[in-house]
Amino acid sequence: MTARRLPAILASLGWPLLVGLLFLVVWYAAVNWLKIPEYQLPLPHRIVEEGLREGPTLWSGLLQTTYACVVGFFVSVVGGVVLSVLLALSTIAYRGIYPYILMLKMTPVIVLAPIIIIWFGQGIGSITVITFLICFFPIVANTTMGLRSTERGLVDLFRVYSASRWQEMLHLRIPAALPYFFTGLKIAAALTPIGALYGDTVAGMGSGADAGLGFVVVIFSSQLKVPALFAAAFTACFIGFLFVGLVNILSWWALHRWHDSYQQESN
Amino acid sequence: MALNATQAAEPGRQQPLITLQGVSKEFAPGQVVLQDIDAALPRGEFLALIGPSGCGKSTLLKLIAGLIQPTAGSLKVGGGAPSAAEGKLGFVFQDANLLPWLDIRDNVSLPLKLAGMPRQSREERAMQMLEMVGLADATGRYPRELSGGMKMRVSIARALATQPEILLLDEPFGALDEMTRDSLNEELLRLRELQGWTGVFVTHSVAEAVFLSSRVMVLSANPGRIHAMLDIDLPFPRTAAMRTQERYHHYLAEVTRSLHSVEEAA
Repeated sequence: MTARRLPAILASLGWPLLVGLLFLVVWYAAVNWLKIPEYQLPLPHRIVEEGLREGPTLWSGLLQTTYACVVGFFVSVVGGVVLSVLLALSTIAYRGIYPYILMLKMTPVIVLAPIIIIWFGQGIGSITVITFLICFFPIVANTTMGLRSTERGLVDLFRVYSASRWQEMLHLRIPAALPYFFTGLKIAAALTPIGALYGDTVAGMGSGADAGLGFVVVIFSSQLKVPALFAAAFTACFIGFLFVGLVNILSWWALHRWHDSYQQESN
Repeated sequence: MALNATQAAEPGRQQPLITLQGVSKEFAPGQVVLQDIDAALPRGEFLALIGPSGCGKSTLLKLIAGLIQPTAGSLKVGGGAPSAAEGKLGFVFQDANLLPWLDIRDNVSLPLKLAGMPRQSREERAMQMLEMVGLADATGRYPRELSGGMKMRVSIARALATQPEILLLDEPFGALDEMTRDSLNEELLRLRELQGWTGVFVTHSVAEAVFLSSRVMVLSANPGRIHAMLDIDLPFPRTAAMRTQERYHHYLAEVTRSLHSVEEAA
């Protein structure tokens, strides 16, 4: 197994690395030949240099934003799942509430942000709510779909054995909805940093260690610190990787033994 | 054997286990799926339901299971309504219908879990059932790792785990190849000798109906009515060798003729 997998890993890492290197070469060549000024496109080593110099600011921004992401994501998952179970338990709730969830989803968060700030004030409260608004929908939409599309035959099986509504939810609908839930979770994980960073730019606390990455970006941009701006972009990208990576691991752990999406060599 | 002994010893208890009186089912007004079904199944009976598609044989099984309610007529299972017969009924579905996220043992013990049996005893029972169907060493495997025939064995083990009095089977072997089907048929008869349940079996296969059952109900379609009730007077326990005997072929021909006359009438 390992003997067969190692080259596969090398191949899967090798190609992206090669493309990355080529990209760097083109980057240096373009900046040198076309004489692109640094305030438009800084060179990679300058981004690293400035990134290191602004290290403490970026680091505290990263911590702050990751914190906002974790809180926002957690609230979205818990809220989304509770709402989904409610919608799946009652057709009346589904018919009555779902249109309003859609309406909330259709309202751009940018328009809601000022209202949210009036209600929750500057800081983590508002940022969490904004993150929630951006990432709860894929969780609710997918989980509800999963809970409501349990195979008819399996539902009949539970009916034959006179399972209670609660048993049916716990032992049938929820496990059957897990693949859908994780699809929603993956989308939500990728959206979480967007929510937290946007929330930070409008509701962030702009002083020292309290400043999230979104706020740091606003400051760098106003000071025309372009290489640091690029460094901030890469830092933000890291949060996305962290979240999506964690969700992928969680999804693998929950599904790989039984779900077809993780089917290895089939027999 | 145990079966015949109980029947002989208690002739007074020949009260039917399942009774259907004028049972009809409409899914929508005017769309009659079953009409005026009368039947009485004594304890120990193995009844096969056969007929063209659309004759309502699966619907009839679901009525007995209490999954759906009749539009007219009365239906009694063990002297009461089907819904009150929980625990007495086992159901084997068309496809194996296993929960993909549970391993084999947990799939078999699921009905026991739903009935609130404590973990230890239900796991012991599940192991017994799996041994009985010859899958004792597959307990930790997941459904997707099993062949169609193995999945069906698990499904049968699950249906028998509650030690039901009645086993309902809805075309359980329809998707399997003939060899697997034959061996599962023999297996099913062996389990019946062992446990003595009463069976109702929906099938498309004349051979399967004759081999397994003590009676065959031939249904006509649109609406589903009883076209004929045929006794299969072959001794139990039945073995694979019976498939080559003349009397077996006589019954095959009889059921086939009856099915043809249904199609001609339609």
